[in-house]
Amino acid sequence: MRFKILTILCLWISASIAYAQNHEEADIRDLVESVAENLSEDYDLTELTEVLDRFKKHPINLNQTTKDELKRLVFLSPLQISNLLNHFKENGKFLDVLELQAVEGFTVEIIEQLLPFVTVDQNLTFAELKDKNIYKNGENNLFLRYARTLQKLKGFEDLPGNKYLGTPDRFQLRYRYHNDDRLAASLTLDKDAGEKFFNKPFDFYSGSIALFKVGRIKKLILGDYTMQFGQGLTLWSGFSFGKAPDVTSVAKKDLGLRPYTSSNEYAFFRGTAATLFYKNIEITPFVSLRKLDASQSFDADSNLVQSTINQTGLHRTPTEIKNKNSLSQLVLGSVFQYNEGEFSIGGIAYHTNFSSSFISQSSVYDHFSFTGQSLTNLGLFYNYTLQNIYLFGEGAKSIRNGFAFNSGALLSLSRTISCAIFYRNYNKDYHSFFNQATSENTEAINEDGLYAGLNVVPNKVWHISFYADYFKFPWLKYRVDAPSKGYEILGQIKYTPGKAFKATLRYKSEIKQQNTDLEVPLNFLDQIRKENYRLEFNWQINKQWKFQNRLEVSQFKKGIQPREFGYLAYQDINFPQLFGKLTGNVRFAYFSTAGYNSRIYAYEDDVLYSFAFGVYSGKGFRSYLNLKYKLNDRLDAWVRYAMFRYRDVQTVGTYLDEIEGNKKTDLKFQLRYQF
Amino acid sequence: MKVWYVLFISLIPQFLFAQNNLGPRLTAIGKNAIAVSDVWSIQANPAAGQDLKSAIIAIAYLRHFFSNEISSQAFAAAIPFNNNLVATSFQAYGFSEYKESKIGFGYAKKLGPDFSLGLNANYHQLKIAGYGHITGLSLDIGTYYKLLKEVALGASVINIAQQQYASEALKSDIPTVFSIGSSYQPTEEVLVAVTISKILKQPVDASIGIDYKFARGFSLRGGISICPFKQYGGFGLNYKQFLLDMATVYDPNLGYSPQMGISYAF
Repeated sequence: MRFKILTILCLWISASIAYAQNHEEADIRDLVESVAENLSEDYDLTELTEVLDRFKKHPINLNQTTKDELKRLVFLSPLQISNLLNHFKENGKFLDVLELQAVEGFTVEIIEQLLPFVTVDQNLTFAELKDKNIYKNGENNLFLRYARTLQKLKGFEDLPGNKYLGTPDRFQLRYRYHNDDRLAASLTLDKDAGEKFFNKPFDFYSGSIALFKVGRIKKLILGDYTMQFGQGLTLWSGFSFGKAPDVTSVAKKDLGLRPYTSSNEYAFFRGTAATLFYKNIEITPFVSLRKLDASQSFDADSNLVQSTINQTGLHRTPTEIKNKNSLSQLVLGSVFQYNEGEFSIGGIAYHTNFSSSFISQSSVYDHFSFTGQSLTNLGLFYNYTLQNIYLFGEGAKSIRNGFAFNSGALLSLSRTISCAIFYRNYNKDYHSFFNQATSENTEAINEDGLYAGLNVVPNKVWHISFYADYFKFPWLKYRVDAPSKGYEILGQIKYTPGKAFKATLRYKSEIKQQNTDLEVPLNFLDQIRKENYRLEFNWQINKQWKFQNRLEVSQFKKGIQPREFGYLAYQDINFPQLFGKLTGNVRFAYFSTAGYNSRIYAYEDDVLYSFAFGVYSGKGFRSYLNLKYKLNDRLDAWVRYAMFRYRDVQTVGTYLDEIEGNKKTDLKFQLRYQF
Repeated sequence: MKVWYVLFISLIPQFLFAQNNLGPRLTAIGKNAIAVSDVWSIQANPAAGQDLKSAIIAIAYLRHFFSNEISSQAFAAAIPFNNNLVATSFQAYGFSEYKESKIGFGYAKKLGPDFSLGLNANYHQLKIAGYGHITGLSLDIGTYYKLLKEVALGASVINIAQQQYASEALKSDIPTVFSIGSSYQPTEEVLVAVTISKILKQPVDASIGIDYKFARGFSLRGGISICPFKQYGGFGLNYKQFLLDMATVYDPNLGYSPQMGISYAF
């Protein structure tokens, strides 16, 4: 009898603890999920989840926070951050976190998202933290990840010409060290499928050591780092959010200089950089020397030249291996920032120099692409909060090339309505190798546009968003042999009657122009219309079992040709702690698209809250299973099994990625050791 | 050149609907008038004047896309008394050789604290130099319902009997339009309005607009319509009982169409 009671008690306790833990992870997961929708396919979300995970363990003290710290919370808009800091100035410190409700622009939804990452503590001061032993508070995280496609790709067969010279495994090692926000170090080793395993010594390696808050030095980094300033026109390495249902995302939140922790093999600087401050002024000098991949040839004078930089970071075939590290890039410059209360202004100047020249390609649309061996960029950016309006903008000039600028405003018109308006004008010959400004094109050049967005949140239950973006391309583009224009509109309604249920309805329509496919004597532009309709339900049972259903329809129509339709329906199930220490989620999806043009994208769960973007193109089934097992206090293990099963096809994939048969299965293992 | 304008106007259905001038304030918010209380909204929804507190007269002038010669002039007035509203309007569109005009008389009645019903009778005339003139009659009907303090709903049908000009010689349509709309006004300063409308023989159109009282006496407005895609913007100045409004419509293919109007509230 006693044994029975004891067992039940133990199970109940472990279930409660397990529930609490599951709940914690669920917060971050839901948050990153909602943000993931707005990203490009190659955005590395692991860094974002790492940041949020750390804020979970060391919550931000609202009473002593700074604008820079709040900017790292990806779901807060610049206007909300200004309002919060202003609130402290006018009304003093918080006694309780729930006082957030009194701040303008903080809806119940935002506060609920924010709660796990903030705290209000009046007793902790900087002095107490400063003198602790540097080793006592060090936190180490070590990740090992192994993945593999089970089927054999064509590139691994014994082919005469182009083939993959390495092994089909994908391997990654990440090591992170943090100490009280004073010292940080990181190391990343990565090998993609098809690359050789031990290769001088690893295909991709990246690391950095960073020091913070030492005297006049705000940050000092040795190794790999990223720079993100202003609105992304002049100097922004990495990726950034695009247009999204959250209309405030058009205003970028620049985080300045940061250590590089992603596994993307292109988007970073390597060298040394520091941010120094004096009163209201910050200066960030930097220097970077890197080797990039480029396909090179000899020109008439026997000089080595190239036309583009290869950003994929893949070194699998003999050609890719030959191109590896063939181009040397030197970047040096400085950023100057001045902050005075609500007003910030910054200036950027830097110079990029390559070991060999860029030449232009033969197509007319490439007429204005970058040529030469070096480039100097200048930029000026500002932001200013005036009562309930957040103004922002940036102007950039590439010397002896074009000019670009953008400017906009976020307005909080009432407690329930906020809107955004954003104008951009990017010359066709504006160049910058670190350009991630908001644009319709993948690169922010050759575009004029006006964006207007509206957010209406009348109460806790309804959330309505809408935006319309009108754009023009003054010069030609790939497959567009004349200046063209188009527009994009998105409308979304979210209905959340209670914590256990949420419904979302979204409509997106995009009109652009492209060369006609018809055989005609005189080429003209056809109109391409893409429409997406989405209906999604999120519901919970007992706060532990979570379900998500989505139905998405896409439509593609070019000129007078018949419409192409695509459908995707999926069911996600998140299950709570089972059999002790196991948690996980599973997806079952069916999709059917008439062709590649009507393909549908949907984010997919991956190991450790990291997300992948699934491309659903063709006809078939998709399913995956993610499991997490807690081995002990310091060790966690994940496993992922994902499969595409296509219908009516003999092969999957193209060129060297082709697989015989109609299935593609991926297996992934991950181990995390925290000490 | 003038003949060319005439052909141009008569061949493009959009221009025919342009004769329904909604005044610069409602145009600036994306031609959203169904659930917005304004002296001009009676042109789109005869019952939408429910919340007018006093008599208003207004005039407006509009320059059309493409040319300096084609313009619209309009006049509107509304007088509320007891639970009724009487309104009159006049619109003229075109240029010397081509003139479309319309005179309307409207009446709306409040059938409860939140609900009203309205009717508008219009007399149309189309005059083309060298061809003579033709006339027509049309009837509009509308309803307006105040759902909550902040939310209003409206629905209307323009030219409910699908009347046309009474002439065999000239085939010209008076468009029939079905619309439903809503407005949301959480505070005194902000108004968001949405309309979905269907003109017979044309695809469904939706529009959204916002009116923001930026400072005392000054308003900023913007709007978007989807099919065809157009952007709208404008501002308004309020001095004592005078209202001065300016607006412009931007059509990606046709360019800008500016307009201005003055109204006086008694």
